[in-house]
Amino acid sequence: VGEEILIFSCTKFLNNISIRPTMKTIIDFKIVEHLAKLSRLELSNEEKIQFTDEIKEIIDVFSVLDKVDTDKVPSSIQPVDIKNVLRQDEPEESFSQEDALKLDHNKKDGYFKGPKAV
Amino acid sequence: MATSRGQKQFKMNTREFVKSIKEEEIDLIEHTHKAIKETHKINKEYGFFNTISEDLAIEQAKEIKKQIKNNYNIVKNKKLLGVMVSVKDNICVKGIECTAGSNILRGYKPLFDSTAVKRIKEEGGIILGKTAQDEFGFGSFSVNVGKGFQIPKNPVDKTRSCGGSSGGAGGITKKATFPHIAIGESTGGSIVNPAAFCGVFGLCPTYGRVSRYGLIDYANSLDKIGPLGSDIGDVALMLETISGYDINESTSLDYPVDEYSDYINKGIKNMKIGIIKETFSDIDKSVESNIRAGIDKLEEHGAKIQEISLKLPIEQGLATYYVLASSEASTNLAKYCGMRYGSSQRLEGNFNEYFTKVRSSEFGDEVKRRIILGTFARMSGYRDAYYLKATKIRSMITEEYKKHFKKYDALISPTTPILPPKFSEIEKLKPVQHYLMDVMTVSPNLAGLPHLNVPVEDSGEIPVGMMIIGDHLKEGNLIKLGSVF
Repeated sequence: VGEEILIFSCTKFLNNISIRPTMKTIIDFKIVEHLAKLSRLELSNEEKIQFTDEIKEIIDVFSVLDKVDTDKVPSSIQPVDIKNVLRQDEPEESFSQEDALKLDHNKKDGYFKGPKAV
Repeated sequence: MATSRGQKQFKMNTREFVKSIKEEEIDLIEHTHKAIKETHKINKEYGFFNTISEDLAIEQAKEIKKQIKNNYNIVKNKKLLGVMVSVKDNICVKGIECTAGSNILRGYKPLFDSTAVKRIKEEGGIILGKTAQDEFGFGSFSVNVGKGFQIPKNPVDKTRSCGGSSGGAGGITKKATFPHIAIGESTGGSIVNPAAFCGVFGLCPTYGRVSRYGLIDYANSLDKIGPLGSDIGDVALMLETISGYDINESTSLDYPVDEYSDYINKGIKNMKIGIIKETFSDIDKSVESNIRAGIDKLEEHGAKIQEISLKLPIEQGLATYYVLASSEASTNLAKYCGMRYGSSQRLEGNFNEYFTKVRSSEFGDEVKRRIILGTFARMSGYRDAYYLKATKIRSMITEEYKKHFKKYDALISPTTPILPPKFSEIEKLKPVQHYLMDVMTVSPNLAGLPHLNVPVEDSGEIPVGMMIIGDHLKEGNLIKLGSVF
């Protein structure tokens, strides 16, 4: 079993689930640049070009969702019914300040030290 | 109950081993040293572990030995006494580095045990180490490891992938010659996929059956912790250990836990099984013939087999899953910013500049890709078309499975459409093609249904896995069916 079969399987799947965009494809360089900024990620120019191509292709596959009529269908946030769980608000022992601070190098006077806020 | 193929025959059954430890027929400290030595040797060759927790293991072994001597009553009912347990690197073990395979969590040593690990320790399980995975679980081949992490290799053929994202867990489960059980984690197939590629059993339980407290989140509405074992008995034993309600985890189900081991060899006569016909088109021929042989075996044992159609989950599952999983991941990963724990750098610039610097240099490519994808799917203007639409299709997919479970006890498909690919093949795949490999496993995960991988390849060659899907909280049916193999 070689590479042909693997690639063949992929191509078949792509064909089967129809990658023809059913929505106007909106992913471009500028959108990727904006999304990266929102996500606090700095990308090089090459990365932006690469991600634009890859994400465009993925979003094209996602557009298969548009084929389904969901007009009267409720949303599922969880797969099983989950009830709201409440408990008594009782104080319990927690991590000591010393232990919590062990996890970071940047600290001062018993506090975490962060970057400038303004 | 048979052991999975290729397992060394001298390997002791876990229950017999636990008995020998209790009766002091085996010296636990000596055994633990041997197991650690073997693990180091295997790891050098295959890269299954990010950390081997040898100090903790020896300390636990000494403590257990003391308890056996001084307080036998405490240990006599412990289910995992002295059994080596490996833990996927996104599940917290107190004091042991926990990275989820990401450089951004380098150096993070949790101050607490996850609930699953706490329960394993209470039953006498010994923590062997933290197993390799795709960064934050983002992958199906364990090749998307974080910067500086090693890629685990298939235990049967080192030129091939061991699957993902719980790849290290699958690999060590196949390779260890000492009694060992792994805990892995699945969001869209990450337990059954590596179990299939490595030729072992792996069970992803019902969503909420096992507490996620202490698990590093990928997608909260999808993540599940579950066992991988070299036989079905190990899987049942671990599942009954880690299952159950947890006050620290509000999505854990308050529903009685079965003694899953009692389902082994209980007979499957007249159980109704639906074979999902869409999952057999265009798959690898060797995968197909081995799965067909597995189905025949179930029929020989008296199960009633019928073909069924599950069009929507197969056609819409991938897109629905990747929209939802990426959306949830993009919010979960917002907390990693180089402060409080994990990687940190010299504090320079304002907070946006500092967070951007740390995140850009520590996250790998697939992580960045999924954050951007998820942010897009949730972005104003597109949220209705992608994220909200996907939550609705998720309801329809769950509904379609539930309809079939009114008639059938279990459904069957291949676990993966292909054999474990070679690394040279994976290199040529585009990201979207990686995603397509999860076509079989994403939908049971979206519906929160328990599913079991059974190794069905019979000749000691490249492993093939068959997936058995059960109704919510019917893990017992999966154990019954799995014990035929």
